[in-house]
Amino acid sequence: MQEQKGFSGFINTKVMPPIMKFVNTKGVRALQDGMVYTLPFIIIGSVFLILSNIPIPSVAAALTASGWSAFFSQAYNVTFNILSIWAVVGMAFVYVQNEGYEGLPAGLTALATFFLIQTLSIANPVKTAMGSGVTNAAGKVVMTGKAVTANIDKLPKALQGVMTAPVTGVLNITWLGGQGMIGAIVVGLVVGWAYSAMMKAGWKITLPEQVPASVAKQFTAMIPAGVIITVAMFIYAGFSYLHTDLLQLLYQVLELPLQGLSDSLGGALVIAFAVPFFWFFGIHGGLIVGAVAGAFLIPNTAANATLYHAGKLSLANGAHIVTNEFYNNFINLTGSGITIGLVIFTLFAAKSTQFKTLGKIELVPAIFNINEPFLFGIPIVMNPMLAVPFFLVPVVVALSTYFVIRVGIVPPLNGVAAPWTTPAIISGFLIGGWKMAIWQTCTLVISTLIYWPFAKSYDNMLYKKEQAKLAEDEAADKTAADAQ
Amino acid sequence: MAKDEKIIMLACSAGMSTSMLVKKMQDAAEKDGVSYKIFATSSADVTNQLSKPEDDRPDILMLGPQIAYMQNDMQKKADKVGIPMAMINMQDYGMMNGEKVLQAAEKLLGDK
Repeated sequence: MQEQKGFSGFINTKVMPPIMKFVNTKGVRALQDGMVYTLPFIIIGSVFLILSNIPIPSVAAALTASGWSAFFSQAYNVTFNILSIWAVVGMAFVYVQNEGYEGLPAGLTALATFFLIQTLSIANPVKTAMGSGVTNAAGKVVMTGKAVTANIDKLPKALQGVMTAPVTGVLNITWLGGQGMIGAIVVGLVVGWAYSAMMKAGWKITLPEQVPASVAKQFTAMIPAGVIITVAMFIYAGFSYLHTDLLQLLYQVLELPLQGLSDSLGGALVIAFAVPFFWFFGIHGGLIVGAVAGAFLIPNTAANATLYHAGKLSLANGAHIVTNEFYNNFINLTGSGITIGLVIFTLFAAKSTQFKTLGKIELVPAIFNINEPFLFGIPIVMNPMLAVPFFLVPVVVALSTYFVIRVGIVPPLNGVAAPWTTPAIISGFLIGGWKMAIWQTCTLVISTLIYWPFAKSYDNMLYKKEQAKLAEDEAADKTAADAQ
Repeated sequence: MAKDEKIIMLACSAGMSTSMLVKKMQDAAEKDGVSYKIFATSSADVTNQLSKPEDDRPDILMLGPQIAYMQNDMQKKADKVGIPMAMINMQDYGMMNGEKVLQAAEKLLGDK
């Protein structure tokens, strides 16, 4: 035990402080709290995503024929599918608000900046068709790219130019979704920082006191917003000479590699291990890991949603295995450490009063993936007797879930986001269909099998302690009675 | 104008598990025949709550043990508006011991 103390002492004084310092930096706090603003839109969008892609062929066909599928798609497109917009506004807003200034003008400045650094055009659909051909509603190629090109070539040169030039005057929705996420994070945080710095330095228009407060307010943002947008314009101009834009660069250089990293088996295992690691030291692992990993896992989810929406969800088409739902609805199922196994143990086999009492408290929260009563009550935090299963279960579940999706036993997660409080099995069904629901049930069994022996020996120890204390109390009572 | 009821704000990561504790604390308060406005919120919402006008502002802030790492940051926010703040005892939190946490809250209110 003494050694244990030495080790955790080392962790608590040497390892945790720098990590906590990082987690408490303004940027990470803004990332974490700003990202929260995307959640309602992701979840509302998910509902419409399901409606536009009902997994029953006859219903889906009827919805498409009636035109309602397109209406549902519209609702999905302007919520989930442009999540980078919510993220960029949310992060700059939170950053500046935490600094003690009004957040909304900064959020809007960040949004303007985010639009400013991207190319506001889309590739001409004719040009796309010259490459990949024309497909019909069922996804069948009805005219090859070669045939399209041959036909276009017959047209007069001037008309060819018009038909292949990029379409301007539009926002490219591709960059407003998952692909723009890292760009949104960078813009949101940099704008938040720059805006606050300028406010702090007093770079604002101060009007005479006679001017009504609401009028004066409009002028406060003028200088910081003007400076930020001017700088962003020069950045846009610079990239424009190189025939690209900052958003695309960030996507290529940062987002793709990081998405790949988080989507690898190693990434999944690191994430699965980090959650219980933090919790073991009493720190909310789910929150901390979620904030950092979410930045890459949410784009993975969005990419899968796009594939699912297009009816092309498969690993071969580039679907991701590790998405935000892999994190929420597998690694953290029934609470960090997947403690459902402990709940089941307390229901059927616990002898100690402590286990039994907590089992009653924890049963309902566990269904909604909340397990603080167990973490702090059993406790699991700083408890070496339950550390092994607590670390092992999420890692085993991550490993096996990765495996069953990789080899194709279970299809990839479809990008639908269920709130993290959605009960197990139901969430599995929503995020990946009935096979995923069955697999989720299997992970609950894995949790039970791994926790059981450890829970039993810990429970025995508690029970013996309780009995000894009871006997002691009885003996004391008896002595007291004898004395009378 | 004095407020009718003292407001106790609890904060954890999302305000989910803490809301269970709120229920237990309300039960405990009812048993003691006292009345407080007790509510739980997420750590992200604390700034909002503290910037409310004084009549609606919480009188004390209590943090769940899982966000102990935010203690310094939160303390600054609480100090700014001059309300006392404390951590909730880990064991009481785990056992959802409404009575004990309420006692701690009352003690904190007394300090004000």
